[in-house]
Amino acid sequence: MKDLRPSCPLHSEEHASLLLDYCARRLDPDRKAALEAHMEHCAACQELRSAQRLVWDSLDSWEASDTGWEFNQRLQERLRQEGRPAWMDSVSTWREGISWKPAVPLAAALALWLMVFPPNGFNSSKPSAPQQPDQLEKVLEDVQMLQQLPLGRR
Amino acid sequence: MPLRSVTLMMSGNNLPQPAMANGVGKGMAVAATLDFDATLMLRVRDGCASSYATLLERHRTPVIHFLFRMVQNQAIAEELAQEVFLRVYRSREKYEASAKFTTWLFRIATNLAFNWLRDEKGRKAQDSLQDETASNATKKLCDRAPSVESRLVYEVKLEEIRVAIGLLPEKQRAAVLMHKYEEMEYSQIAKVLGCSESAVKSLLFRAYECLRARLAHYG
Repeated sequence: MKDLRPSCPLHSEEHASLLLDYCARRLDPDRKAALEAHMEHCAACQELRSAQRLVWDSLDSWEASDTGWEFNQRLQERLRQEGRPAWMDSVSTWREGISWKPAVPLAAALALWLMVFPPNGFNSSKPSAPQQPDQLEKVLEDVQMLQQLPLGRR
Repeated sequence: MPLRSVTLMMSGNNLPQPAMANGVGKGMAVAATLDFDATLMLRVRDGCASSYATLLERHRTPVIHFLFRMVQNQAIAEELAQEVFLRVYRSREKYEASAKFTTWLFRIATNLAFNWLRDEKGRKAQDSLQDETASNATKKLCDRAPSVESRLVYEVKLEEIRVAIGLLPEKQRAAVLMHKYEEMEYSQIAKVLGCSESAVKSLLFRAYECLRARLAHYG
């Protein structure tokens, strides 16, 4: 490592910001002029300025990449998860665990059973006219209800 | 705030600018004297979804870049940046514009980076990082054809910069990155790091001294 120990009082910790600000081009014009006047006669400050500029330029060459759209999408998803109440998660977990496949044959079997053995004489020769639509509606309701029941798991 | 609208606004490019004169909701009278970002954050607090999207668009890149240079891993940097913006969103209701928004934002980012680096330290010693990088650089030198020499020199130099920054103590590293890349004032860096302004100057003095010594051979 190169020895860059200071030999000028300006290189102390106390005055360090002066040279740093100079290299970062953040020094006001008056102080900049004063420092440059000093540097003309101070070899140590000239050396430090060169070394600091080298660091500055090196850091400038270190670029970082960005993934805008992908990053936004992931954050969007996480925010959506954050906004969802806890009970919704449990409901969705419960629903995901249910398989509706066995409900279809069961519903069909029930419908057939109801056709063969109607509860209120569905099969009788003279059914009372107002009862028929009611019963059919009830059967359909029952089938519909059965389809919604959790009857098995995946 | 309806979360769906927050999330849907996040990809928008035509982001609305807050009207300082026509303040909406509580805190807007105070906001007139605040920086633009703090005004946006107060709007987020009041339920404005598009303001959150604007804040994200304005600060996503600086936060990811800062974290990348802190942890030197793109995937980790992005993961930490996600956490930063989630925390901003979670804290929206408690937000008070008592300081510059970026000070608060970078404090969150810095703390997350420090925590990650501390966890990482247990698994990976700094010496091994240096050895590994040196051997990688040598390997690259041997593997590549002479026609890509300049590219190789650049890569090796970049690796040395990364190592030089990586070898700085965490606080010095954060101070240098905020000073160099975010162009923050000493006072703001002090607020982010929770120390005095003179302590920041001291951190920077020591950090740049190390960097000058480590990168001197490029002169």
